[in-house]
Amino acid sequence: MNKYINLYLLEYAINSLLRQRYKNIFIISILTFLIFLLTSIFFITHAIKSELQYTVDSLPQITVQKLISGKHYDIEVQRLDKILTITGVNDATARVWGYYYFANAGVNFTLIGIDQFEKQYKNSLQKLVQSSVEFDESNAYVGQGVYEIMRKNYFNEYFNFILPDGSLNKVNIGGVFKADTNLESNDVIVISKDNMRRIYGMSDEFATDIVVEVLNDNEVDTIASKIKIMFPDTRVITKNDLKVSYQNIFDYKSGLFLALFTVSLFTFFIIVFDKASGLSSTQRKEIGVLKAIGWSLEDVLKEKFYEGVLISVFSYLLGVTLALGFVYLFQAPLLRDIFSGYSELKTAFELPFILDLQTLVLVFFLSVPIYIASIIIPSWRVATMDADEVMR
Amino acid sequence: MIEFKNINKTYKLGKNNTIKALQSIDLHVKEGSVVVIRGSSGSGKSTVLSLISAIAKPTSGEVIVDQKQISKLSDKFASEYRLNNIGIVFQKYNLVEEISVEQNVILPLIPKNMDLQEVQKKVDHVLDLFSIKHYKDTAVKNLSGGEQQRVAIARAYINEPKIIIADEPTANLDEALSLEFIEILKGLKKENKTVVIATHDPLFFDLGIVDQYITMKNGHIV
Repeated sequence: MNKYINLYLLEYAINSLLRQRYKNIFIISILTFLIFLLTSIFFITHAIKSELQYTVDSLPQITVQKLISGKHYDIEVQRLDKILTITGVNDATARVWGYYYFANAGVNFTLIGIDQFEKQYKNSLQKLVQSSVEFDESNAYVGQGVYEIMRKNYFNEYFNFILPDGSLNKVNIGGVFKADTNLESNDVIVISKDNMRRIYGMSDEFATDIVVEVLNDNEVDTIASKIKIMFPDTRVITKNDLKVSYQNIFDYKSGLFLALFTVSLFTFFIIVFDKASGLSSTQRKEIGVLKAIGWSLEDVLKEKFYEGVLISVFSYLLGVTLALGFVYLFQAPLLRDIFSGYSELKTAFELPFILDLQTLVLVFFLSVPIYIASIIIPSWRVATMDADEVMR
Repeated sequence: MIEFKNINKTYKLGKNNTIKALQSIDLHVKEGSVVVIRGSSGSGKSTVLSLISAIAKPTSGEVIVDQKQISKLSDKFASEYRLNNIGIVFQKYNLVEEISVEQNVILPLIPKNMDLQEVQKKVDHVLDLFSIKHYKDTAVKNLSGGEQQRVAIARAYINEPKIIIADEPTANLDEALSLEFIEILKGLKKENKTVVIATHDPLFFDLGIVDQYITMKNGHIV
């Protein structure tokens, strides 16, 4: 006989649960759903946070945009030379990028122009130009989301951009562009700078903005101030500013999750409160009888503990398994849409699988011990009374 | 074997409402004797049984069983005392109706966490003894009143207690089944068990096996 686990007591606990099977199935269903919802929220939040962190890490240290009366204008490329004279600046690149509205699908693509002979300001772009692709006027590399939308619209091999004069500019789809994160690359089309200028009607002397690379991270703010003094008609954005901005978008959206989270917890505590508030007369009598036939307080509480463990651990395991499947296998349909980005292109970015032990432990402690306590406390109250009094 | 010394028991029913269930009770029960406590409802019979089995504590006085004072035992030791010394047959049997006969009979053995073979041997013996082996796997709720009582007696007997207590054991039985219970009682007497029965069933009032009659009225022995 196992001296650590009393198997007869365990059997009695199982029988006790089976005696009220419909009630317990209901409790397991509710608990499982709440644990599933909580865990899913945490998993999605964690996955998106990691995805955003990668995205933020890939942002330029300083971005310089020309701004007149709050309106964004193209910036003169020659300003690069003056920026490069600032001590501490390692490199500066004029970027040509913008949005392109694709009416057929009703979505905006993000267009990025690159020159394969220049040093790229992002690792993902550097990798792209190093992968022996030709960046002549005829090629475009598209993110996964763009690729799928184009295929749906029968642009399998090429795409026609409409130029400012109404004529068409045909580019071949060279392949799928993959950045470190799907959020970063999903709605992107990478083409040559010359092509970009043609699409936007922009001359060689202008760029969309200038990105600056600084050797020492601690000097970013100082150099940003110097650029602002040098060019008062510009807006100088540091990586930190963008980080805050991304965080705000994330926090706003996570507010919705917080609401779901609060509702889940509230429901859970109603169940717990209901359980903890007392036992039915039948349950009280049963405890009285068990004590009368020789069970000790410890035996009664142990049996109730087994009941609580069976229900809560089963619900926990089921809820967590369902959440894992829902978030990582099915990519959290419905819930993920809340986070699917600020672009209208909401397709295929994947929630990266991260085994978040902290979440698993947190959800465990938010559910299992609290439920077990809600079972044990009222039983303890009854079991400490005289059996005679309980049975009367 | 069982001794009550100046026992008083008062139940509180509310803030200012109390019932004096027992008043200045002294009694002595010898080992191996069959004792019948008779009296009308509310006379204090069941309270005497509760005090012997330590499922209630006296308000004042001493309950001594086998030279040990059991009226002041802590919860843990009171449970241990019941487990090893007392078998109780309740008036309404108080069985767990949804589980099987065997599972009900095993209940007092659960805290002992005994070896499976030992448990099985004990259960088989008791089920045989009380002729309920063929109902072993039947849920108690499907048994008749008499059969349920046999299960209750088997449950009280399985730990081989020295003292068996029965509260109105024939209250829910017809005469034939009551006589059957009396036959079981005779068997227990042969095994030198001390049996204390609280009843107002006249069947018990002229039984040869009864060693001692105690009559109670309004919490007093008369």
